[in-house]
Amino acid sequence: MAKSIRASPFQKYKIMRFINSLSSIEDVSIFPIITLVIFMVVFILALILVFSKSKKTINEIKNYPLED
Amino acid sequence: MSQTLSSSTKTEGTSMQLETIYYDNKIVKQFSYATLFWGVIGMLAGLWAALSLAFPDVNLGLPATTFGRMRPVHTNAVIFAFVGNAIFAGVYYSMQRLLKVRMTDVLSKIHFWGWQLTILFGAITLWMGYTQGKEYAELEWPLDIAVVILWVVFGANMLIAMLNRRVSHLYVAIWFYVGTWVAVAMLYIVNAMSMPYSFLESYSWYAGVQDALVQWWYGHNAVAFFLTTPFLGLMYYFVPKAANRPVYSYRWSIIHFWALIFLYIWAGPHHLLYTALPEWAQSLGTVFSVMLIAPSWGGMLNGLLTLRGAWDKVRESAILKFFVVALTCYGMATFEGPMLSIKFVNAISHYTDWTVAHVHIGALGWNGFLAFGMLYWLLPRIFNTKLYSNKLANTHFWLGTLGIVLYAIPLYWAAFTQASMWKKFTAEGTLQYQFYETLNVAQNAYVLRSIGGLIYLIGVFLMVYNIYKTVKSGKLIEGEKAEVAPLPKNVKKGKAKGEHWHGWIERRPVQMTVLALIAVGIGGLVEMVPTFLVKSNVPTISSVEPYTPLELHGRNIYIREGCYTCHSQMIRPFRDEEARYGEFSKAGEFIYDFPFQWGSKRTGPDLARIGKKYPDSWHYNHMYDPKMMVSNSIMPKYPWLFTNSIDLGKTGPMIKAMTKLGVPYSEGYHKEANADVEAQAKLIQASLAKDDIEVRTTDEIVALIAYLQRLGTDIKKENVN
Repeated sequence: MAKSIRASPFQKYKIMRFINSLSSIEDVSIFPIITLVIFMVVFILALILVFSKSKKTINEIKNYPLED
Repeated sequence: MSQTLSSSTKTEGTSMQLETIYYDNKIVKQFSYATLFWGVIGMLAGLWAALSLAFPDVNLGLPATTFGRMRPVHTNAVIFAFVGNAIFAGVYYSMQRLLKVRMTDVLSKIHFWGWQLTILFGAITLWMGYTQGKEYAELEWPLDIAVVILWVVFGANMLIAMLNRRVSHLYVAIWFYVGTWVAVAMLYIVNAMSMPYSFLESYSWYAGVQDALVQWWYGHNAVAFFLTTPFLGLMYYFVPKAANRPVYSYRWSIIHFWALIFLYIWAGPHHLLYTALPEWAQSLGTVFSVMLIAPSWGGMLNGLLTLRGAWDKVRESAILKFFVVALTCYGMATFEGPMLSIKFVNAISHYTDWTVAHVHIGALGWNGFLAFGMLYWLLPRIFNTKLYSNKLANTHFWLGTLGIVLYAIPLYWAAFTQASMWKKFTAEGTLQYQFYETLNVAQNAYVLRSIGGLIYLIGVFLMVYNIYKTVKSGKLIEGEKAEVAPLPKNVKKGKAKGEHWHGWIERRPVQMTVLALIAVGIGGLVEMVPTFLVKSNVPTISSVEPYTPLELHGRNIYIREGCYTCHSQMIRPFRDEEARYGEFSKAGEFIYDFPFQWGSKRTGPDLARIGKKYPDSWHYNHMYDPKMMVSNSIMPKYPWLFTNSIDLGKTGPMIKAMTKLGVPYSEGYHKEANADVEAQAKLIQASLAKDDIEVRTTDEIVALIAYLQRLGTDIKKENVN
């Protein structure tokens, strides 16, 4: 049954053609490392952001919900 | 109502232009009512689903009331209708007050009515069996489009409010709302991409491993960004409000935000441990899931510590009690989640009721209780009255807590017992228990958890009554008057003198939104792109061929009836699973599975290699009445499959859609496909006739048998390349 519906063999690898039309990536192991670096950078920036704020500003924002 | 009025007021000797604005409470009321209404509907559907597992006769033999359709109605109603409306009620209440601005009326209206209509049509279409067959993403493509449009309306409403705000800083709750908006938009659109073949039917753009990865990247983050981050935003507003003291540490809350949105987006693959997903992606999911404990617990402690010095109030206030238990359940669920992501724990927990118990600690405890606390707090306020009965609210709290405990504990117990029975071998090296022999353990737990669910629901009914009486005793303040000072000009435009760079980012909602998008976008891309692009991740198997058109019809029925809600199609590489179900599943076997049907729960056995295991007549009888073949089966009957016919008019469009997705059917095959349908159906008809069973070739059961008999058989023809 299945035989009658098969097309030429080279067509077979066109699965997911939306995505596979992009080129392939060679070194996959770099991805987790990129991940870690990006995460650390963002996280450190967030820490700097938070701790460089003055106590006055922090207290001002902190009390927003109680001021309406 | 006019949005602003100006008045000149003298305050403390200085002249200051104060503006009078009116907060829109009507929209808050509407979303609050919708929360309660859909909460009841969603929980009733859940109770029905629970009961139909405990007592299979509850399925009633009708399509709409059968577990496979009731369960998606339950999950979608609870997530998008109950929790969704609660989010919007809370966001519209808090955002106006935190930004000192009224939301845009027309957008609020479109958002509210559009959302309710979408939910209504969602429930109806799910009951009718129109589903994309992916958990928590079942809604069909026209409804997906509606959801996306309404989400944009919601986003625009928030953005306009942020741009017109009269305060210099964005409180952390708003950060959580913005993060939620960005992430949900991205996740929903990417996962919902599909190729329609009729007005209400479509195939996922992705197949097999890729589809699984996209789905669980979405599925996990639906939990993260629909059930968690918006509720954390609400928590950071309503807990300080109810306790009448600011959040314990504001700095902590900001770190909580960035760490959480960044880590969450990576954790999806922990739903696919030991599957055919590439090993590196599984490890990535595990590592990020374990790291998630830190920000999650940070947030929970920040919430609980906000109540320091106010614990005496907790004793009296039902609202604070709800909040404390909500936060505790959040802490429990976010500790349990990472534990379940560790591979050796997952080996036991996955496919069992452990997962179900876990998500209900989150849904009933965290989402339910936080929503209840919030509504008890805000509804009397917008109606300018007091809660009708504190005693009733306290009773609701205790019933709810008891309900959660009774719901979860039996399921944990059943999960451990059933998993250990599945894995048990005799001294001779054969499996000690057949699958059906483990069913009684689960079924007892299903009875108990239904009772737990019922008690929880009774609590909700008490709440509905309490709110009804409260609302009756007051009058809605449609526009709540507030006098506010406008935002100084220099804060609105560019970087203020002497200001840090981050102040500029934080004060600008657009920049914030873009940054949040980048944070979550990178996570998604890095996780998925390699799997899409690297061929070695999905080794092809030359003997794996596309489904025949009759099998495709059968597969559509399998999806329509929600078979994936109880059956997996993924054999993990464990000794017991191979002994029970056959050779473990390979990534290459699923390349034509649009959408994938790996499932996440084994209420029934795995079906990945069910093909050719039993004769056609076995499946025929089993679908007609499962108890005929397995005496203690809890599977529903499917009598309508024996009278309904497949729609041959759809064969062509189905094949065309598949061809567009890249399935290698020969050119013009969609025109000839029905001849193959007939030919294959005749073979099954003849095989059934041998066992004295008469069928028409177009009967749905014939198509379903064709599909089931195909499952997992391709690989037997040839080895992996």
